[in-house]
Amino acid sequence: MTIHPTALALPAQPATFAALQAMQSIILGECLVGGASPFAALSSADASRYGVANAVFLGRPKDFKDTYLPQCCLWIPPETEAVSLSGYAGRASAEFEALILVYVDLRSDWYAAEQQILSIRDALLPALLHHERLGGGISTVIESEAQPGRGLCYEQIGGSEYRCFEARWWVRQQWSITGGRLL
Amino acid sequence: MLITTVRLERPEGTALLRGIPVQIEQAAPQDLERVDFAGARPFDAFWIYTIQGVPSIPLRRRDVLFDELNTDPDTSQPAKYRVAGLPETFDDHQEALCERIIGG
Repeated sequence: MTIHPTALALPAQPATFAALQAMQSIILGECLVGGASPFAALSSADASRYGVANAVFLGRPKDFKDTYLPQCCLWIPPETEAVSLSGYAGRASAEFEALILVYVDLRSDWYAAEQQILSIRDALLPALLHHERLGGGISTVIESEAQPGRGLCYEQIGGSEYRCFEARWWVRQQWSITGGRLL
Repeated sequence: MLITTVRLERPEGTALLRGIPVQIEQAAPQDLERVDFAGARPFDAFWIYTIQGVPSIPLRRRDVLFDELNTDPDTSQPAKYRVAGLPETFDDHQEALCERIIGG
């Protein structure tokens, strides 16, 4: 049964990074191939820096490391946000779409890469569609839904081509403006 | 232009060769920084020439080279270059177009 949230005490501001972390946690926990995360294990230094054991990054790492393949980036592209006010008490909501972009290495064997990206895609889509509110742990998140992105595609980074899969994850957050709106 | 030695890692984190003598030159000194990866990856471009023959493990695309003698002023870490194009191999040296990420 789908549960929609009702009027609860709302937070005073959105929690976008926490929402992205919830997405990251879902991907790490539920996007499994052969019972394990398909994303590359991070070095101990990077695991400590990013707080996760596998290459599912929040944002696009400035220094793309192809040591970490397959890898996944969750990031918010330009011009996907909407913000609106509703109700008398200064209730606000905002939407964003995160892009989920998965990279695999096709240099040594393109056919193995093709099978790998498809297996990750097939594990990823059910995980993205599973949660109505990103697991329910972020009080601002009232709705979320996976949507198609570019799908299977190619990207060139640092002079090399990678096989990719892209989906979108739409999220709506809600909060109340403390004290209501003022003149 | 810089004369130094580099450490070859393939992939990054796995050192294959150390002390490779090279000459490093900006590919286009008058150029502004470049970006790829949807704007998230700003870099400068350099040519790296090996100056004492072809290394025993020749450079390849996607190799990572760490300057063993100079740090990146933005990060205070050893300057790091990624081979971004096909290295050209001659009888007595290699030439590789490389990218250095700006900042950390």
